[in-house]
Amino acid sequence: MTQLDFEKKAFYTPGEISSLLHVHPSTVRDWIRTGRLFACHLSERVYRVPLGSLMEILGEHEEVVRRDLSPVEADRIWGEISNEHRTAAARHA
Amino acid sequence: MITLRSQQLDRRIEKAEGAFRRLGTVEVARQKGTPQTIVITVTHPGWGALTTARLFCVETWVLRHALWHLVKYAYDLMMKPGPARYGFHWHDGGYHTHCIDPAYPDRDHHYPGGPIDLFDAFDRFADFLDGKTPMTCAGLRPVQAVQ
Repeated sequence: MTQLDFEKKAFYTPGEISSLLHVHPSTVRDWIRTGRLFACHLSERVYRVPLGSLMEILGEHEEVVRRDLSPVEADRIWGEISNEHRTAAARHA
Repeated sequence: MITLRSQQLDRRIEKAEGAFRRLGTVEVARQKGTPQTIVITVTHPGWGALTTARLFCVETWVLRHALWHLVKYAYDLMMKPGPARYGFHWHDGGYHTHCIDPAYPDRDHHYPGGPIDLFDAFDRFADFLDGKTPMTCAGLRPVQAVQ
């Protein structure tokens, strides 16, 4: 696992990624273009890279927690969602 | 509505895990058998920004003739500090959209809606989170206006 000490923030510019990882800016642009590095397109030429994407390329991304869902829990969740819907619908009746 | 083979459903969940993981910590809770409800919860920590968020995506699939059919869903983004919410729901026989505009939290937050794919909903949520799209209810018509 890569260990880097850097300021954590929500989004980074491609230039910041380039500085952090000591790679050429065109390399970062290639990663974005090819999908290796996920980035949000704010406009045609403006990109922002979420911290999660940076962590992913560093191999430090969070693991996904997987668990079983019981039928009771599934019913409870849908019950809450439906109740909210019914309450809203009653207001419009 | 979406119909998938078992392998395709597994791949859909893997794809969702990969996409959602970019936004924060992901938990996938999956029911066994049919009907099968899948709950994906993403905790977006804000990473130093002022806004944190929670994504809550619920789908229920039913197995018929060796194919899984999506029979209802609820995709929700809740931002903190709130109240701020955007959600796409299909259940109890209809589509609707939930929207709580942080500027007008007391307004009714229940609007008519239409079908949307999980990943299109995710793109909309990501736009809200990165500030590309402000969290407003602009463009949504209140339920009363369309009844």
